[in-house]
Amino acid sequence: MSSLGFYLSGRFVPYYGFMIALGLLLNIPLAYIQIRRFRLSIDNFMIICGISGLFGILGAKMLYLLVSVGDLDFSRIKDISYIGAIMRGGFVFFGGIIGLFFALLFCKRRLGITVQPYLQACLGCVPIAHGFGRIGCLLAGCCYGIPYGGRFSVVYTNSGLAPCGIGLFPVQLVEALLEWIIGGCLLAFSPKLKGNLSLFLYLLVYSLVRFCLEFFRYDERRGELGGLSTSQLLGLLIATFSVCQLFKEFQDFYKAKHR
Amino acid sequence: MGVASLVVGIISLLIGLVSAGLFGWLGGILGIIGIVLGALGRKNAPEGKSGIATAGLVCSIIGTVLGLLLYVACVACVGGLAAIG
Repeated sequence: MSSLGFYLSGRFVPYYGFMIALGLLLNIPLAYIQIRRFRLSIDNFMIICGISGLFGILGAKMLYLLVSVGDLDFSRIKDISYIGAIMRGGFVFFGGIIGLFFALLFCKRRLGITVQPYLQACLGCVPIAHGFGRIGCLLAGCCYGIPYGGRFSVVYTNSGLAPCGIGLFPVQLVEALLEWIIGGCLLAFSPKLKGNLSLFLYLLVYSLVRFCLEFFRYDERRGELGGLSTSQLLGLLIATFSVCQLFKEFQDFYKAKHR
Repeated sequence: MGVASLVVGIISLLIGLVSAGLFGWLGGILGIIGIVLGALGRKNAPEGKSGIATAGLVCSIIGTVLGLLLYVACVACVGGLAAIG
């Protein structure tokens, strides 16, 4: 299966971009329903989304450039078409999450918006959109898994990215399914997850999922330190941070309950 | 805020319509800035006077969709480094 995309009215549409767009478009009504369900301001929601988007793109792109700094041609850095190629190049999801943190801080401190209820209501949309991105990866043949001949293995016959003709573990599909399960749980239980509980639970679970799935990935350029990939190291850091924050949240709840 | 949103939104809309792939990312980023400015404008405007901010918001949303989602498509893992190198 697969080249990098398909043609729609003569225009090339890459799978990854198409699936991300599809995920975002499906998320708009989902987020709207949640905003109405929690009786929140749609303007504040758009401000938080916009700023999160900007900071997220910046964080994801910066981390990607950091990981692939050796491949950059600094002599062409003033060339606008080269800048365009870099901007279309790639992103690292964990960089986006770091950017998201700064965005939420900015909204809270500089704009005076209480972000907690918006997070509680709409955080589940993030893994759902991300899951669609992973399906895009599966279709395009990037972020592929280790050689594997068992059930549900994927064999690419026409991919410029994945090795063709051998069975591969469908790591992208597994990650997408897990993301949708996480997203569904977050949306379903959002009214019960008070405070920042939903955020730190999501970060903890996703970090652990990603840490484990990285062992099943076979694509190159993962960035490596001490036998672990960049995403695994960041995953461990974020998971540790989330556990500390969850512990703090539970302590606060306990104190409030027994006051 | 409303006027700034309208200006940025129109620029992102034009980039999305005219430049397609090459500056699509720029149109997308300008569109997102327009959405933030438009929403801030609507929030801070007196009752019934948020027309310009709403227009800016709509232009910015369309500009973002055109720029970011339809034209920058390539993205993420897809042979990024090949394009850079």
